[in-house]
Amino acid sequence: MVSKTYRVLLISGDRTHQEGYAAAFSNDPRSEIVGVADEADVSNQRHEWNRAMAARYSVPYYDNLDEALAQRDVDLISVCPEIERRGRVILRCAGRGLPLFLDKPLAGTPEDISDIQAAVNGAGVPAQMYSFTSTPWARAAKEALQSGDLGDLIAVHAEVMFAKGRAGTAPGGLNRSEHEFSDRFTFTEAKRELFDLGIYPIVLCLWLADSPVKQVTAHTANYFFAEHAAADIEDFGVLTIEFENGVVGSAVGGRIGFYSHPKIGPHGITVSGTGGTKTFSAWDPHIEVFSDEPRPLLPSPHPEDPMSMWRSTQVESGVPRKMGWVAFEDETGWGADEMSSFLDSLDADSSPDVGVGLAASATEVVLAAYQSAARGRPVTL
Amino acid sequence: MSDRFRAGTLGPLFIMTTDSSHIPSLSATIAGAIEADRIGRLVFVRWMEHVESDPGVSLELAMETVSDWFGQPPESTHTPEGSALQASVLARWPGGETALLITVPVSFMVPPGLDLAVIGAKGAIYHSV
Repeated sequence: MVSKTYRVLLISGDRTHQEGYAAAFSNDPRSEIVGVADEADVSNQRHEWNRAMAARYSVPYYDNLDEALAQRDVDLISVCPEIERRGRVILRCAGRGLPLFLDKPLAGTPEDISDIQAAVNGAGVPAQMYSFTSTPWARAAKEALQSGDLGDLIAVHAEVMFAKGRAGTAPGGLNRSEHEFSDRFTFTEAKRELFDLGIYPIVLCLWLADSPVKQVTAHTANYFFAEHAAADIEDFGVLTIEFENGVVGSAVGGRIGFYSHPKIGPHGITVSGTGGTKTFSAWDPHIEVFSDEPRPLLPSPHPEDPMSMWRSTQVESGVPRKMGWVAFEDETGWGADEMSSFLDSLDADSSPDVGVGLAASATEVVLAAYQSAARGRPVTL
Repeated sequence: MSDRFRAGTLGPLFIMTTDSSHIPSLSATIAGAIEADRIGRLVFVRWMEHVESDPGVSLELAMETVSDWFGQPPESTHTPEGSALQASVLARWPGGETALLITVPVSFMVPPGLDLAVIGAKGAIYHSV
């Protein structure tokens, strides 16, 4: 059998976004998974989840990162450890001198972001952070701008809200105060949603505005879920981004509940130029189907993933796909499109859409947004 | 680029809905859904309006409408600096509720219109014309 072009080593396995990345790399005819690995001193549970992924793809599991990185039959590393470990793990992987596919956001601290950027640039390796720039609606927005039909860009708005989880459980009247800094991002029952989902529209704004950021103004909130409130983390965030080139950006990210949208949530971009405005929704055009089909019902929460964060637990708990709206562009290919675009850039020896520079800038905007929300005023970058 | 993505959620050319009667009717209809507790506590509004007139004036009218839904004016607002062809405001209410209101210029072949997301703690209302 002839080896495929890209032999992929996965860092961290199940119960991370690696579930989706691995499936896409496995399905792409240009790539194959050759191993799963992680740091030796992670929890037994993390090792078990990693072993489960290795078993599913019938590849070795390396419970020692040094051993894994010493393997010669590797061409690309997909790096997806928990945020708290991400800085040091990416640094070690960058030292291997291979292309890196990086989970989003890049890291949780300014120091880690800076170190990662320096390490990747120093190693001279291509790197791409997962984002939504490969979605059909983002591509369409970019092409509309590049066509010149809208004139010079003056404003860009992007939003990614996930209609997942059982909303309506947040304590009434909760008006939580945000924290400027946090050292914990990983919870079983919840995620910091500005961090985890807000990164998508922020990347889109930066990618489209193509300018350094001058100022960020943000609010975070606990609107929907008791789990987030109990963990003292936000389930929603909204911000404005003022760019040095004068473009006004705005971004919305949050988890709003399964029943709050006919698909997986509001996803879209509006770009405004001196010549006019266009909106690009993930769901338009679409048809709307009304019939005697059973209404999709949210099943009982998976005990290990009540917010439906992971691919495996969504399947295990039977979260149904909503089919009342059927968009012309099928959303199930978005994830694979991102991996495919990275392989395209490697094939063409071109820069990926979201290289480490843009990834670092977007993650810095997220961290600045927390500072703004905590201080109650704009933050200058 | 596929032309299937042209103009997104904005409606076809013959629909001209941002006339003087539309917003009051829309406001009352949404207020009725909120008062009937169909979406739970109102927590966030994203108002994206395509306007032919002064975007600043349109934004003030939008803020009046949204403030009616929240029952009071916002306690804080931030207006980003940018082109006078657009207007944006990020607003927060005393209970922590928020809104992002944006008025942007219409395009050739795309008429005035409104794309609205009204998010509640357990449901949402969407409106696009």
